[in-house]
Amino acid sequence: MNVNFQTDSKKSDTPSTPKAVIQARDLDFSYGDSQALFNINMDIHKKEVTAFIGPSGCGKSTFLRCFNRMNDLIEIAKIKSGTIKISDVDIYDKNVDVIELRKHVGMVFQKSNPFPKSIYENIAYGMRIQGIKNKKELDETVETCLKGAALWDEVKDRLNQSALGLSGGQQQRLCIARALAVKPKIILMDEPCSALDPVATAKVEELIHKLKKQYTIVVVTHNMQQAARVSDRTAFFYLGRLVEYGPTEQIFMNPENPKTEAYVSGRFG
Amino acid sequence: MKPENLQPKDTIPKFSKRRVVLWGKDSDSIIKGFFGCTATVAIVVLFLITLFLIKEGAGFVGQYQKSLKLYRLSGLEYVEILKERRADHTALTQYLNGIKGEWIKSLKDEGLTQKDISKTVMSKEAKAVFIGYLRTSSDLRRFIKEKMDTAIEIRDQEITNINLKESLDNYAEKISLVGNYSFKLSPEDRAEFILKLKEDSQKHTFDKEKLSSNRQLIESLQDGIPLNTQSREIYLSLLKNEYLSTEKLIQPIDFATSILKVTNEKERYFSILEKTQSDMEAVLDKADLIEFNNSDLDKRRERFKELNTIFFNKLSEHKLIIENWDPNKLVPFWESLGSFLTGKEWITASDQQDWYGLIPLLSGSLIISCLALFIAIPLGVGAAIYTNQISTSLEKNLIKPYIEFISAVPSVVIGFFGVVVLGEAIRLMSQLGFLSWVPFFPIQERLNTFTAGSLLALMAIPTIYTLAEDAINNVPNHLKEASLAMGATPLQTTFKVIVPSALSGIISAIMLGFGRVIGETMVVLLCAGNRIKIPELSDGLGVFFQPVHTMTGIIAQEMGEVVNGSLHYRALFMVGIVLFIASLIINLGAQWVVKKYNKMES
Repeated sequence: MNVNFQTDSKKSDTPSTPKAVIQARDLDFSYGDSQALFNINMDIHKKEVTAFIGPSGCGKSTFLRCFNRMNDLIEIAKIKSGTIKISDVDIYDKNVDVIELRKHVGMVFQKSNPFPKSIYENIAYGMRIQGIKNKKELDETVETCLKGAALWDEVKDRLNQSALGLSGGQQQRLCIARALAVKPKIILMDEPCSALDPVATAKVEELIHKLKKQYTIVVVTHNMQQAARVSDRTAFFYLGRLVEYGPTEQIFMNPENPKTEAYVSGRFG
Repeated sequence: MKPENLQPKDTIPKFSKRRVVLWGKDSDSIIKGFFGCTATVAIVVLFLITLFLIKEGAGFVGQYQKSLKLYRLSGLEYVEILKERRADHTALTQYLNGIKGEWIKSLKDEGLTQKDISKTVMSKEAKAVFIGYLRTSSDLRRFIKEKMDTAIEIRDQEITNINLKESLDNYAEKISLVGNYSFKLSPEDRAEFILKLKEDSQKHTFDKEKLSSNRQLIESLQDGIPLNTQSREIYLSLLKNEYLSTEKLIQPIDFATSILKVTNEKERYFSILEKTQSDMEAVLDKADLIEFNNSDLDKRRERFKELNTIFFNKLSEHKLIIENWDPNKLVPFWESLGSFLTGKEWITASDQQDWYGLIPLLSGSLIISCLALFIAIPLGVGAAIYTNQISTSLEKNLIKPYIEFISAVPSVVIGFFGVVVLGEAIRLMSQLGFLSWVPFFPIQERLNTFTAGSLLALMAIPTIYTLAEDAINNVPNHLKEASLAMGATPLQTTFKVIVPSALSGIISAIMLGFGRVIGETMVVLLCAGNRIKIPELSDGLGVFFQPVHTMTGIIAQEMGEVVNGSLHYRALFMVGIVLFIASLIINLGAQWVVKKYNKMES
């Protein structure tokens, strides 16, 4: 895989497991004086769906936002120690171009947030900011992305209408399609279905399942059934610590840690 | 707290009436009533202002209609048509003088001495052309002057008649009042009566009896007491005398005959015109005799001849207009309104005819506002984008209060600064040698559109800045996050997502800035130069360096010196109404934009 978001290409010394695309090592993260993540170690595997579960405020979203450095937008947020490597590049190295990183690591948010533009322009935005003006190329990518997000058949006749006229589920899939347009390798999803009804949720889950073949997906969710349904691996966070991480079946069927068991069986959280 | 205190007490609750505070109302309804009253007062005051504005302004149409009617009946309009011919001739003379000026200049360039130049220019042939041409119109001028004086005389007589009739009405009213038995002297009446008695005494200085009786009467007069029969009779007779003497002054005008004094002698006029024309032709023939030895001047001479031919060709048309002019043509009310709305002249206190045309003021206001917005929009919106999206929070905390502080500077201070510093600085700058390539430099006027416009821009910036910053701030943060997460740079995010999303808010900020600018008075009054003239667009960018007058400025300047209820007074109110409507439209437009924007957001 060709990773070029590091302007000054500096390969890491430590070898990694061949499948691990994201590696977090000894990560401590804080908002000002209050520490949010404690000593997190995790390998996220290529072309798999990894789910982060845990009660509110456990730091799972914070951890997710470390992968594309969205936490940089918060002035007081900073990594105190530890590293995160994506494809063996330390993304917090000062040589890393955060713009390139974010093209490589796409993100879908909890609240669907299409731009107040047409459906077409929403998808084309990612290419326009890269300076692509070729109408044919734009048309093709828009179609591919909408098909990729299983939205093409629903919107192909109204590409020039406002994206805000779509239903909530359609908007969320539009946001996924929009993220695909930048051609990322990794897609982060921050509770993508929390605002959707069951039917729309099912569609998005189906989509996640489909996208897995091409993308590495990390999804934060409150919904344990969803984690069980869509993910290959699951990580349970509690109070800023990674309590347990392993194959989804193991986490749900036979957890090692009693806290995990209590949470997945619905006794707290 | 002990646990048993939390237990609900086992007593019967009292659902009594709320406590009464004042006039049978409790505190809540009093507060509600108070706010209701303040809102009502605000609405009522606004309504009264609008009503007053319309009431004072509405009389303008009728009054202006009367004025225009008199303008037509007295023959002033006819004279105005005659003057067109004279004005054309004057323009031609000026063109000829221009040729003369250039000729002198070219001779100077050839290296001739002053003496030689004046010899050439004052040679017999040249004199015959330059001075001869000027003389061709002397008969015409004399004729027009004669007619104009006649027309003005008729008009003035009519105005005097109107005034006299008004005072006759006043006397009649007074006589009927005094004739009533219950009439009591008010202090003003007494003063008037005494004055009249004294005047009467002066008329009869030899009639000793009359003098002493008058003196006694003056001493016996008291306020608030009914007059006795004898003194009432004296008062009445004095008033009646005045009534009669005023009535004698009125010399009713029969416009049908009086107008003939102006419009007669058409034959003489036409013969004067024809003589003028033949004189001009004779002079033009002589013009060929002058040897300029300069191709440019030859060209201008040819052009001058062409212009003269155009002038001659217009004669028949002019004659036709003169023949067809009808003093009895009606002046409908929309003509007076139209004359106000589309009139190109604002002339007051003239000895011929006052004109109240809105266009010079409206165009002055608009050109200043447009210039101000042209400067203020990039600065205000740019500053808003910068502080909200790009700057550090330290910069934001410095810039924001400073920009908002500008609105705390009184406009008269800004205007004063414009007069003393900015206007002078711009004029001095325009005179610098290395800037002489700028087409309209050096500028003549210190106070002009540019001085006023740039200062108004300064005043509009806080409005535009604050509202635009709010609009940008209201763009949901998740849009910014979405854009950044796709690998857009912060600048791309700002200009492709945030500014377009805030656009309607920014537009409404600009419209409110426009409202602020067009209603501003002090700065334009001090800095715009106050020359009532439509800006000459033919000057290109130089149009921004001409002095203009504005709608707000003219109200502030002239309202202090007009007679209450006069035509001029009402004209100023009409200008006020136009201003009011303009502001109303701008504000409604801004509200409409915001409403549309909110609908789109939800």
